[in-house]
Amino acid sequence: MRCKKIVALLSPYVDGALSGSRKHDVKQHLRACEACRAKLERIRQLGNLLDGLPVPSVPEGFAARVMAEAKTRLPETKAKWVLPPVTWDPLRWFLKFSAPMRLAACATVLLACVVGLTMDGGLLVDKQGQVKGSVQNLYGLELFDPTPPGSVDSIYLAMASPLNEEGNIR
Amino acid sequence: MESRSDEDLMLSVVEGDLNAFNKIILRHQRTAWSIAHRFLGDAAEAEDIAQQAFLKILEAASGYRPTAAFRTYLLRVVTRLCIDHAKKKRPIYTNTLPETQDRSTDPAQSLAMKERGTAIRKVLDTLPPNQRLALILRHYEEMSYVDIAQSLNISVKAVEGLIRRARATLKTRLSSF
Repeated sequence: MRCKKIVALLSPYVDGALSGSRKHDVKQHLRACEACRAKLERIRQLGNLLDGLPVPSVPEGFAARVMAEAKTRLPETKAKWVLPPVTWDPLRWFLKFSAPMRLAACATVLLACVVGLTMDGGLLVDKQGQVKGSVQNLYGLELFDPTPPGSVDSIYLAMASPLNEEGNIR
Repeated sequence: MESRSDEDLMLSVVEGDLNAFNKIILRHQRTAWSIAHRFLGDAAEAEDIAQQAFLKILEAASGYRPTAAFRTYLLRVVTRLCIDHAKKKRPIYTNTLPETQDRSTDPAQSLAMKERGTAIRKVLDTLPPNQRLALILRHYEEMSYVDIAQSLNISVKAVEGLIRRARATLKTRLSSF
């Protein structure tokens, strides 16, 4: 193969990009041609020369700046940070509040309990087992006519009632 | 040490996992930065290009398909940005090189290295963008012609021609070294 064709192949030859017959032809030619060998050597020297171009390290904080920019540019991106496991102590959390706040919280809970108990019926009836008039008025309870005594319904109601016949809690 | 592949991390990015994106950046920032810096010769511009590359990848994450190695994808984005930048801006022939650690104890040797580096920088800046990129990817990133062709979206034959012409220019203009 003539030198002109070989010279055109020296670059890929140095880079290991030749294969098959092309690589074989270059190798064969180089064995016999000093001029082409000198050109090959010059290409290798250029490579060494290029190594002399310095490049500094990646600027510090580069990744952080990219992430900050990413978050501002893409608010609709579903940011799904994987959060570290959180261990939460409710008592410790509660104790962080001031005493008046804690007292107010307890009072609120107590009030909620009272309202709940009131709604439940424990405070709705008087000693006679009758719904208190005030409660009736307050909650707008509508009463049915009393069930006939001795009927199946009256027995069922007696069983379901929290009070016995003496008006005491069962 | 993160053991997940780039492609796996990118699939997490598609799901909105920014942690995975951060890992992608940490893994490939050196590559993006060094290519941009060798191409442009300016630290601020190189950082801008490298940052844009990662942000473009994030923006296009929903369309990401692991059909090729992620590195090839990243390089395609970086080289595209470099070429677009070169088209908009005329090259600046810089007389100064970035400060790097000088391992030479001999002042004369140190000076010679700096002069050589400056000369290389100047010659690289005169190369057409495609030649410059092909040479950078081949010599500094040690990429194969096939990978360079994929990154620049050209044929292997075209890569051969680019590198050959780039070296011919270097040979002429750096003959004194």
